[in-house]
Amino acid sequence: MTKQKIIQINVNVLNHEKILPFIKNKWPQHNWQNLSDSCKTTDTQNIMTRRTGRNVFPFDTDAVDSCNITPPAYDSTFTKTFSDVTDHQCRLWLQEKTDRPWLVFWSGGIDSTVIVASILKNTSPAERENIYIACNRASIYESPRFFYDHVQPNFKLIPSPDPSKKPLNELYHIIDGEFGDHLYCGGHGWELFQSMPDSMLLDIRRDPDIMLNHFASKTNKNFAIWYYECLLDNINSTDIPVETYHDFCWWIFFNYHYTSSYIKIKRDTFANNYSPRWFATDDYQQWAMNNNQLGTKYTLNLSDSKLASKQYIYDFDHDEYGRIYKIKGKSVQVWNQSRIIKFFCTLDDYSTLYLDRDLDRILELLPDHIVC
Amino acid sequence: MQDFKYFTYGYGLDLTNPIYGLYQPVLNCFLIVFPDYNTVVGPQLTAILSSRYLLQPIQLNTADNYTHNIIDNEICEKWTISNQTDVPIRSMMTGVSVIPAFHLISSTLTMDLLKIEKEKQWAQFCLFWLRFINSECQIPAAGIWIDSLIGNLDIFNVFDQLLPVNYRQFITKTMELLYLGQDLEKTEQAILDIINADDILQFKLKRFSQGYND
Repeated sequence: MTKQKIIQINVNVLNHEKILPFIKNKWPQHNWQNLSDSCKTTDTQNIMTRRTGRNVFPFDTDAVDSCNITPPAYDSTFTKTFSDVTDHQCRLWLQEKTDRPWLVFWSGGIDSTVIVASILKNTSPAERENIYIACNRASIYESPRFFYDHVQPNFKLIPSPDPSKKPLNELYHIIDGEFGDHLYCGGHGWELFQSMPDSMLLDIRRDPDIMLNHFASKTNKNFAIWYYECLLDNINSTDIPVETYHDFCWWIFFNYHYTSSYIKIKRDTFANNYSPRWFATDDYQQWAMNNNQLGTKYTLNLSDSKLASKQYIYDFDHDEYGRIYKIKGKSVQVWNQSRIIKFFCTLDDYSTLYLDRDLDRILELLPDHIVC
Repeated sequence: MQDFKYFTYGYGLDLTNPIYGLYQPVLNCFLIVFPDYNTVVGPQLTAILSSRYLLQPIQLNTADNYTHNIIDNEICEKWTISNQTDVPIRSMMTGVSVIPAFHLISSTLTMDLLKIEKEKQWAQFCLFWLRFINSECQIPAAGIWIDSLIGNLDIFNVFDQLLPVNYRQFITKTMELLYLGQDLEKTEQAILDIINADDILQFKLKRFSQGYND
C-alpha cells in the first residue's frame, strides 16, 4: 500500500506543543518559531503551497503537482480580452455540458454575476430552460437590482443548497465563481492599498520598503524580510511578469492562495466529485498573467479592484451603481467552518487530519513533508 | 441644496445629542448626516441605500475636532474621517455597527459634484419617507427592518404578516420603491399615488410634512 502524503499544512496551528518542538528539533535549519508565530497574525495560514515556480518554503509541495493545477505556460502573445474569454467560456460549455442541467451558484458578488451575465448574453431563452440559479437572501442583498432585473425574470430559482451534503454533481453541472478572485490582486495588500493606493504602482524589487514595513507591522521584521525574499525567489524562477506591489499581491493569490482554495474545495465540498470551475480555465489564467496593467485589472480607486469583471457586467446591465460602487467583499459562507479551521493538514486523498484526533498519524507522515 | 424639498441640516433639535453620518468608502465622503441613527430609521436608511452602495454609519461627534456646524447636509461631501481603514469591507448580511470618528478631515472628491449632489438628495428623500413610515404607520419592531426591504418581493417571503394590516401595502410598496428606485421624481410620484388613494395617509403626510425638521 502506498504511503499517503501530506499536500498542505495549516500553518496557523503549527505552534502546537507536540508539533513545534518535534520539527524544531528534527529540522533546525528552518526558523519554525518565527514562521509559526508570524503566520498567526497574517493571511499566510494556508498559502505556503505554490502551483508553479520553485518551492521556497520549508514544506514539500511535490504531491500538489499531481493535483493538476499548474497554470499554463506563460504566453506573452495572448491577446484575448476578459470579455472574449468569458463569452468563449460560456459558448464552449454550452456545447460540452449538455448531459445535465446547469446549477449556477449566484452569490450576488462580482464573479458569479459575471457568469450569470455571460449566460444571459450568450444563450437563448430555450437554452436557459436547463439552467437553474441557486441563491439566497444574501445574494439578493448583495445585488438587488441585478436580481430583480435579470435573475428572477430569466431563470428558475432554487434556494442555495448546502453543497457538502448533497451529491449535486450527479444532478447538475455545478457552476460558481470560485477562482475568480485569483485572477486579480487579492486581500493580502488590501489594507496597504486602502490607505496608500499609489503604492500599488511601486516596483517590488527596487522599492520594497513600504511592503516590508506593511508585513512587519503585521508580524515582525525578520519574518517580513524572509517572506518577501522567499516569494521573490519563487517569482524569479518563472518567466511570468511580476513588477509592482499590485502584481506581487496578485501573485500571492494566483500562485499560492489558488492552491489553498483548490484543496479546500476538494476537501470540504465535492471531494469525490470535483467539477472544473468557470474561472479555472487556461484562457482565464493566461489573461490573468498578461493583464496586470493599470486600467485593465485595476485603477488606484478602491472600487476598481476587479475592473475587467465589473466592466463586463456593466456592458451587460448598464448599472452605474454596480460599476462605480461595488467593492469586492468576502462571500457569505454557506457551511460551518469551525472544524475546518482547526485541521492540521490535508492528505493527497483530500482527507484531513486533526491534532486532537490524529496526532500519531501526523507525526508519522510529517517528516516526508518537510524540506531537508 | 437648501432648496431641496426634503432637505434638513441634520443636526436635530437637541444639539447635545450624538450626530451620525453615512460614509461612502469609494467616494471617501459622507452622503448624509442625521441625529436619529439609533432609532430604527438609521439602520433602515443604511439598508435601503445598500441597493446602491454600502454605507458605514459613523458617529461624528466623537471626532476630536467636532464642533456644532462643522458638518451638515449642505457640505457633508467635503468631509471624511482620519480612521478610514476602520471601515470594514462587508456585506449587508454581516450587519452594521457604528464606528466612532477620530478626526474629521477634508475630502478630495474624485467624482462629479452634480452626481454626488443627486446621491445626497436621494439619501435625504429616503430618510424623509422612512421617518414618515416609522412615525405614522406603526411599524411594530426594529428587528424586522432588514426583511421589510425585500420581504414582499422575493421568493423567500416571510415578512409581510408582521406589518400592521391597514398600512401593509403602503409600507411594503414604499420600501420596494425606495430600495429599487433610481429616479427621484418617478419614485416620489409612485409613493404619492398610493398616498393619494387613502384619505388617512394623505392627512398624515400633510401633518408630518408641516412639522418636518430635525
